[in-house]
Amino acid sequence: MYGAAMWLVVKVLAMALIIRELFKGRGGAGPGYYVMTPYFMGRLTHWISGGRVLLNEETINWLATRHDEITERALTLIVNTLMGGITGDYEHLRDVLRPWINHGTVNLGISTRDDAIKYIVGYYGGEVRREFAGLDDKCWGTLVLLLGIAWSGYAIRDLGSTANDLMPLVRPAVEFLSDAGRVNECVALKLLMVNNEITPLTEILLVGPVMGYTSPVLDALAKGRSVNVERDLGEFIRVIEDGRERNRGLGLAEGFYALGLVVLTAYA
Amino acid sequence: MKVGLNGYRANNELGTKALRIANWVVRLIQRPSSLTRLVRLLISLRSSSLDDWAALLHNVSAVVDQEGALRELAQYVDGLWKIRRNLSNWGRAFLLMAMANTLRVRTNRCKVFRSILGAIGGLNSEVLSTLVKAHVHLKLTEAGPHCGVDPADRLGGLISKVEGMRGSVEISNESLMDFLRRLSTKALGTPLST
Repeated sequence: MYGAAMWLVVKVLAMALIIRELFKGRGGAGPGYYVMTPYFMGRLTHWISGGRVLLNEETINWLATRHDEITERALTLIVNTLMGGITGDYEHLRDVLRPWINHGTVNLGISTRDDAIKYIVGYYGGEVRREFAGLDDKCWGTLVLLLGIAWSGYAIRDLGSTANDLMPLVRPAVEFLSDAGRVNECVALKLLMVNNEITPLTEILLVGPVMGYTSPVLDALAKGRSVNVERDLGEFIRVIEDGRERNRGLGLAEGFYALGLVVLTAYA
Repeated sequence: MKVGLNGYRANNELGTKALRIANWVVRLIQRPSSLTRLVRLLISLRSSSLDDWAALLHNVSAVVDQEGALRELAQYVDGLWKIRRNLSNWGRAFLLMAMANTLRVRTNRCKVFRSILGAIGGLNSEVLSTLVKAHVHLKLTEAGPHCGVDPADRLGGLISKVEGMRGSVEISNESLMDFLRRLSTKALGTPLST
């Protein structure tokens, strides 16, 4: 990790700090809350460093997590310094951070979440798409459900655990998403979800398209799946039309899944 | 924004299905900003089925009461109003109801109200036009001013008119059935949790 590659480590850390800064949110969110999934942070720093493994798991996890207010305020100052935005009273900080400034100052033109997401999508969109390539049906269905949840404004915990009465189409996805221990069976899910929560970065990757940029995640989910999507939508129409007579309607989880399909269709 | 992936773009049937489902699932979404965000995405499906798009605009504008969101929806409604000739009977009924839902955020309320009333006559279904008329008067009552009509009086008259239609053959009218199928009430069961 040290030696000749030290400047690279500093650079990768600097970029990771800049990006996490924009997604960490203001106070209130509290320590321990994830800015992005550690898995995503790991992949991101891996891509930024050109495929090297420069940061250990502990560091990656630390970068992905929100810390106490004092630490976060210090990190904000560091980030502002790295981006050249600190002057005046903080001159002493510049001195302390001299090695960082020499190696870690990066002019990425990133100052808003929008910039950050454009940066990720622009430079590493291909890598993100690759992470979502070749999903099996169970994994794909679970991601469709997650997509619907993100668009609905609900949280994953609102799914509840009543899987018995669900449409066969939706049940595997609900069971999968409700069982935190199974996340390793779907690596793509690890990029988006941690502790059964959708992180701020995840939300933007899933609902981003409406803000005017393409989403590598939605690209990958939609590609080659139009037949599945059409079949599933048809199934929903059948169930709802039937259900009208029995006054059953759609359950919340089924609604999320259907919403995920709708979003995917409109996006593609 | 439309990506145009193989198998989606040219598939009108897929777009129509998605819009139909959207009409049911919008009830899931409670935040006005999430609703308008969805409508902004779904406009790419508009040309698949203008009628279902009209239904969506009604179903969404019926539940949004935040003014900014309603104002944004009013723009989509106006966009569809310009091409209303391409709508079928029931699609037009939804457009008129959506228009009425946005009365509250319009500066020229009475003019819009009169345009809606003027267009109801062309609906070609007694039941449909009565339902829409009742909805429009209700929305005008909420929005105010009365624009020279007494909504309570009008609503009373419409109710007795509907009473008189009981058992009429028109209930089997296909256009009316298409309309009722897309009304988003009752589509979703009791949410598992909120």
